[in-house]
Amino acid sequence: MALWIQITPGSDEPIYLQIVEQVGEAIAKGQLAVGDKLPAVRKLASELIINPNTVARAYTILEQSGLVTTKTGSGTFVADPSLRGKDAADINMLADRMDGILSRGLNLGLESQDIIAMFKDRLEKFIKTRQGGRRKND
Amino acid sequence: MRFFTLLKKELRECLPWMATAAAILLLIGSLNLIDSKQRQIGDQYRTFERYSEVGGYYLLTHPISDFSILVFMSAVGLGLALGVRQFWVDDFMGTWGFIVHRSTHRTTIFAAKICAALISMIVAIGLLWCYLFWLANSSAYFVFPLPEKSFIGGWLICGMGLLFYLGAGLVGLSKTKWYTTKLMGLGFALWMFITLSQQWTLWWGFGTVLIGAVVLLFLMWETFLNREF
Amino acid sequence: MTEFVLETQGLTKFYGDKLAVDHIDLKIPRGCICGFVGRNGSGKTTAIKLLLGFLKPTAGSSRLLGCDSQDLTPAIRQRIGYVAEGHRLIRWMTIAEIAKFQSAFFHEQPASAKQGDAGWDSKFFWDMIDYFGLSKKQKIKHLSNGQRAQVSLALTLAPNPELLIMDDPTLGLDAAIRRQFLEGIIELIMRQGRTILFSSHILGDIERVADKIVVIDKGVIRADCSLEQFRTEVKKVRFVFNQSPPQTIDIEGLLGSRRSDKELEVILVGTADEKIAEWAKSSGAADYQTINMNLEDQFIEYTAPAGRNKPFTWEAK
Repeated sequence: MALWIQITPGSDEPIYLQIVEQVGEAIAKGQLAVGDKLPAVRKLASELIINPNTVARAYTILEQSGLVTTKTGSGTFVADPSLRGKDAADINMLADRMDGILSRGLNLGLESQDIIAMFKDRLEKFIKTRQGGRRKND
Repeated sequence: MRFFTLLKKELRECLPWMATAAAILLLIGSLNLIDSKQRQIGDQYRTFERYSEVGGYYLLTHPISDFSILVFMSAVGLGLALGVRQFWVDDFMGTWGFIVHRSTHRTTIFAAKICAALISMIVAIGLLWCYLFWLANSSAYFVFPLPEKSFIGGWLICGMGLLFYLGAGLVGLSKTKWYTTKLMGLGFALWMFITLSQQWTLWWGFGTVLIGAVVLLFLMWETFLNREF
Repeated sequence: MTEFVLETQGLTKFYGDKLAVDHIDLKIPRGCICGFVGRNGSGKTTAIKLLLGFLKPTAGSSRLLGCDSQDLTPAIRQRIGYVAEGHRLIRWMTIAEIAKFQSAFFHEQPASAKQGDAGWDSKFFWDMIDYFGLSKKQKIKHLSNGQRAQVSLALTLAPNPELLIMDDPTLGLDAAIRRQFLEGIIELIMRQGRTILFSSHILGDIERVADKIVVIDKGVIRADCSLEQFRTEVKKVRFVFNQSPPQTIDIEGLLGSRRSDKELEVILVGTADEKIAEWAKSSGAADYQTINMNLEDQFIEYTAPAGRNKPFTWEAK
């Protein structure tokens, strides 16, 4: 399992959210499979040169959204997707993000059907990568 | 242990100045003595014999008065140099923070500086004066021996140098904006010098140096303890 | 036993009639990494010097490790590491000599000591010097600013201080050396129970390392909260109107605003989303959008003149 996390201080997004995003994306793409162990808090903090509390915070948020579980003494592992809840707030946030993409698309002069086609295309690619990742880990 | 670490550091910083003063004193002092012998100023010496009671003052009016002036200037020069090195340089270099934030009392830091300066002056001026005095009295270099009282006078001059060291140190430590108050330290040392040169006996001479030193030392210590960096 | 490793009460300092530090109240608990940010001349260095007893306060007091700043005992000073602005060290000494000088003021760590125990850790010091690519015979005066900063860091970290106070430690250092410096600080953070106060105006460094942020401006503390709170609660909201935006903006937590023909951009602190929606409705905005800001922008807004005229101190709940 290769998990490359890169953080950018000075970005609009707080560092802990950047970590949450990247881990989330890795899980969605299948780069991290269920049961995979996330890097230890101190190790990741050392590598990224950030405060370990920031990593801990990110892991806590991931746990709260059901993406990972922490076993004291062993570490943090990717959780079973069937156990994830769909939080209303998370879905709202997702909708907000979509607004950002949609406004950009419309400003570029794309038609609605073009935008929908782009979404479909990207989603298919994502699922393919994920399935490919899963097959590798089987 | 911590005091000795500080003392070693201070001595090492005094060393170049010590060496310079000692070298100048030794070199020019020796040349001066040889020159005096060659110029046969023994006759002038006889007319000053009646001032033999006056000790330190005697030295200043001695026929080889330019020699005593040399000792005086070396002592004062070294004193000023040490005062500046120990108490002015850290301000310019911004290093007080590093020196003062330490697991010792400020008094220990202060004491190390004073001891280092004392040792430096005793070695570079005092001991060298002893050597030059001996040199002057060994017949190979000088026809007429210097009277004993002038030996003590030489140490008095060393004490004078110490006063100027303390004066310069106090000037460096005081943080007032007004130049008149700031230069008070040196002013005081100068006043002591003038008083000293008016003393007619050795005891009064030493008394002046002692009182001056104690006053300046106390003022310096107080200022250092309360100083803002 | 006091929980706060560093605390101040109404700490004030006047230089003549210039107010440098104005009634500062700070409480920093053990284990906290506090980033102390402010513009040039905001009072950061003065505050730090007051904490360490290098300056006398005009009013108020401060305590480090339970001891009054004006009476720090040698034993307490031994537990406090200090990196001064500019990293000034004794110029004529070599690295070996200055290490010997510094180590004399701490007891030597016994061979059985674990990493992180108090006392001079000689191995740690020389490991750091090696890592920085320096050698023991180099004289301080021949080192570049960056190298001197490295030595200064090694000298300060080797005794494993409980409390580390650093005044703009990465100022003027190149990116590579700054990176190493931060690595050293992170390494120290990993050792439990260390508290760090460091002032900087390089917000990228603060963002990486700090748990808590204290913003100081013109001698006054403007913000004192966790970094996470600061990042999420200082936000920019853009309101779009069909007509010219209203003159009065009576929204809670307003820090500053900018207007154009049909738009109003406000900087808010700690305002709940519902209040924002409420105001949008009551003011007749056609639409609004919350925009994330980066730490630098947040800091600039917090110390901008508009913000200054309405001093806004916001404390963690």
